[in-house]
Amino acid sequence: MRHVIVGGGIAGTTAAEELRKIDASAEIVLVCEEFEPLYSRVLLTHYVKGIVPREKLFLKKESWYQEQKIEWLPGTRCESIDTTNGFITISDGREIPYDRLLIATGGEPRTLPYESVNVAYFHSLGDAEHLISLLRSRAGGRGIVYGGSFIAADLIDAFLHHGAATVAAFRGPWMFRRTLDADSGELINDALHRANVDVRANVDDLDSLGATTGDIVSIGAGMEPDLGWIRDAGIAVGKGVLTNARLETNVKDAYVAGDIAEFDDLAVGRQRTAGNWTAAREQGLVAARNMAGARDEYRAVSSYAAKLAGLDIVFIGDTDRTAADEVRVIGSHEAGGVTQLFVRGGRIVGATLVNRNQDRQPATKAIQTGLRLSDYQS
Amino acid sequence: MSKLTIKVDPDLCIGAASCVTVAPETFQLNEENKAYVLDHGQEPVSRTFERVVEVTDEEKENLILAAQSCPTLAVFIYDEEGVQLFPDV
Repeated sequence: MRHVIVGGGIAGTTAAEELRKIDASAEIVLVCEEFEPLYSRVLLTHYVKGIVPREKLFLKKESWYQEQKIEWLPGTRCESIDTTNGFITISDGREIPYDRLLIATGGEPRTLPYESVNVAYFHSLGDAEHLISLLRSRAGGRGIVYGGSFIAADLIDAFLHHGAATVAAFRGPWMFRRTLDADSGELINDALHRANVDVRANVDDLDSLGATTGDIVSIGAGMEPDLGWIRDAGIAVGKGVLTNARLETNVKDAYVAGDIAEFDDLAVGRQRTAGNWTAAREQGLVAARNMAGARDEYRAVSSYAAKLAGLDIVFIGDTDRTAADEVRVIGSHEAGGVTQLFVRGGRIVGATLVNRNQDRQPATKAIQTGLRLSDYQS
Repeated sequence: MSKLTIKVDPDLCIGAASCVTVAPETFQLNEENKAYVLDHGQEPVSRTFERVVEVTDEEKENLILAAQSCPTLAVFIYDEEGVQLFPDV
């Protein structure tokens, strides 16, 4: 059996490891666009802050791939897939045949038409290193963050940690504007103000911030996966690559895991993308088992947590407002904490918590068990 | 059975809750979104980030998985002799 995995992040590498555990003699090929062995993207913020050194970011050594008899192809892109004849073509022109294919290429940061030497995105180890070098060369300049995402929150926190004059600019009146209500958003704005962040709401144009080359302009404007080459192969895509709960695509022998998967989320009863480390890892495990012949389903309540200017922000399950029938709010801006419960078909499917960590366990459990809103006790 | 020391570094922990998902009997989140350590669902003496627990081989394997699942490598596991089992150094 020959398994080809495209994407060497946590989803793809976990799948490779699991496949080796299941089958000592399988051929496993791991195609990775980046050059480094697996590292933790989640630790990159700690790295930029100087809390962990570079060598502590790595979860695998270079020698691990050989020890595991995994054919690791760093610095390599997958250019196309031939699903009829079962092979992929990689960036050096070689064709690699597969019996089972896993696509785990993750997302790409959405880029903005703003180009300058002092611009930083925040996705890869290379991005983190660029940011660190800008923090040195632009010491004394402003740390400008544009965007209302979790990545933007990490960037703001990193600049604050370094004591930089920090600007938080975003579209709409508050960060996470598509997900959070006004009370939640105002709590975040308050926390930013308390931390002496220069808050610029309703900024649609980066140029309006008047950044100089002495400032750092960092962008956290969300993610968008590169789907073109996958669509071209006849694999069904939406916001991500569409899969069932077994992480199978519409094409035989082709599986998907991680941020790029738009999977049938059994925990909330809707097809959606998750986009976080834990989900990517668990999906890598499930996909690997199914590639090896099992029929497992991925089922988990995913969550994303961040601390921004001392404020805890947690998203759990399905927090897409447009997919909710009702949003119930607990707490308020005045009370200092807000929880939103997202309800569909009478059942709780998602939650956002701003400075209300005490709701994390009950909300997670409510989503796990499909609790009716009327039975929820906070 | 083996005796393991389980430790969470609260400075590294970001409250991703991977460990809670994998091993809820050993890890839960406190009110600051930091994982603390339990002994089979119990908290003898007091709430703590570090605890010695006696576990079966199966439980030990699951605890290693929980530590591996942490995106910030905030979970440390040591055996009875103090040898660090995870992260492998």
